Amino acid sequence: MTILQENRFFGNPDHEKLVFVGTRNAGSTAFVASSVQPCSGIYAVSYIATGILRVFFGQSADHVQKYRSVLSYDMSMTLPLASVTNCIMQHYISNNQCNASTPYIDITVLGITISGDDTNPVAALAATANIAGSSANKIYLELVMNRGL
Amino acid sequence: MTVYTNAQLINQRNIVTLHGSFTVGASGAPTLVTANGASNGIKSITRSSAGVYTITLGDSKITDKYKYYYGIKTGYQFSGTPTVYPQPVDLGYTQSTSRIQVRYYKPTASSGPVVSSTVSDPDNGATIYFEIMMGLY
Repeated sequence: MTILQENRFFGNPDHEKLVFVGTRNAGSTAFVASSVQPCSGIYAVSYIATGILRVFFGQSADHVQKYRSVLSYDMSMTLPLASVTNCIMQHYISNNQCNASTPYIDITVLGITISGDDTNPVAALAATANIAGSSANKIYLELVMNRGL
Repeated sequence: MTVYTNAQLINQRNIVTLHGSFTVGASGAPTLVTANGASNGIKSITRSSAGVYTITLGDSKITDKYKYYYGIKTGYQFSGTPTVYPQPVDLGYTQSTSRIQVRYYKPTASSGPVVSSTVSDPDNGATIYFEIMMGLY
């Protein structure tokens, strides 16, 4: 691997990048952090409801980390085809509590629902899909946070 | 432009990462978030047409010209269920004006029913986060 330089420019020294790579734990609501890929600043990711992931900040439940704000957020998923029938790989932050005493954010993964009848169908987004419990189902989560409290 | 360094290995030279966010009001009107150092390096955000947003790079006095554009990643925050797809289409970078555009869509259904997409403003009350990677030269 060729590394050309070690510096990357950020506009503010308080900005902090958090990365979580993990797989859905079969038979559980929790995701297991990868042992071979970097995970930092996020100590747990688990489902709290259908389609809704909760991401906890810090090193552990006893050592949480509060932030002033979210600066950027991105997530991608590696899923087998059978897992995406009700999921459109679109997601958003549905609850931001990064500055609370128990700091976390909720991420909702969306599907599409259709209501009405054949002549007047209505399409809408909804939290309809969970990522199934399988070691093949992996999420890559990247957050940049503002630590300047 | 104040530039700090942050040790992170990368196999390209002179990469600049810009983080910004804006809130969406009525009729899709955007407001750039600038409190506490947010959106440093972002000059402005405007709604160019329904569902289309233009991000201009720079600060209040100047426009920053970059040679390369490596892409934009966006995040969507909303307290309810969004009506638009949270991830927009990247319309690219125009070097002469230092502008990047994105376009939002929402699902619609037609007789059949068949699901398709139409251009739409993001939800009133949403916050859009974005990370832009640029190359100086």
